[in-house]
Amino acid sequence: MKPINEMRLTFLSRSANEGFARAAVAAFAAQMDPAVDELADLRTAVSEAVTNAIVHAYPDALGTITLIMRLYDNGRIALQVKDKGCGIPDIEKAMEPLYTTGGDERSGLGFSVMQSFTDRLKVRSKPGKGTTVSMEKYIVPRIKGAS
Amino acid sequence: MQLELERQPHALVAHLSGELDHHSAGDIRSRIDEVLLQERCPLLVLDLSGLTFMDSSGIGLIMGRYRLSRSLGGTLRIRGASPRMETVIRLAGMDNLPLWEKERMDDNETDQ
Repeated sequence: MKPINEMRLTFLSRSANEGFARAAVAAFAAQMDPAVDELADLRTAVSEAVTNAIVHAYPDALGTITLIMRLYDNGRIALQVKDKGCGIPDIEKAMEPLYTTGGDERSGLGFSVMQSFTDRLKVRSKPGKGTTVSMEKYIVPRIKGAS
Repeated sequence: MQLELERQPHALVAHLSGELDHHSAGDIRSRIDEVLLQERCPLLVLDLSGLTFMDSSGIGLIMGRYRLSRSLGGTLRIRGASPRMETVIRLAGMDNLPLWEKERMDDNETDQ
């Protein structure tokens, strides 16, 4: 199925861009007329994915993060957060609730939150090459035929 | 993101407002810890009622302050968590810890 709209943003892995990514996702999703809760789910999920890239993909340097968002007319929103950072050696381990390599102040809940606030989560990663987090969220349509 | 620290006779109350994420958590953490370590308050209250956004970085902040309070012989209480924040808190398995001031939070809301 072809998306009805698509956007692509590339930004530096600076933590100030966590809020920017949330705002961008919310602004672009607005044309799907999401409910307040659905919008908050998207904002939280993208915040987790972008924070992961900033904290873990580029721990000692700045890199780029690309956010791709596609909207489909069946209410599906597909989100991808891509980095070209260090990659995740063991994805299964990284996705375990409360597991973190980020130290005492990180909760280890990023993937659990993404999982519980979206309908589908997929993580692809190659050590040394980067990580792509793909998420899908279905927006319950309120206005038929909105475009 | 804003932080207002209120000193009460036996407690330090941290009123958080705005968006709490990884970007803002570092500054909030050091400002709370500085006062907590200096004044050794037996009770630290994190008032989340002014937050418009919180992700798992907020949970990291709560867990870190919980550990610090305990290491100083004190306790931590959480006030004003929204249902969405409670979902994240449950994911962390922290809903079983005696940290929640739910009733008091509801009282405060009716008072206002």
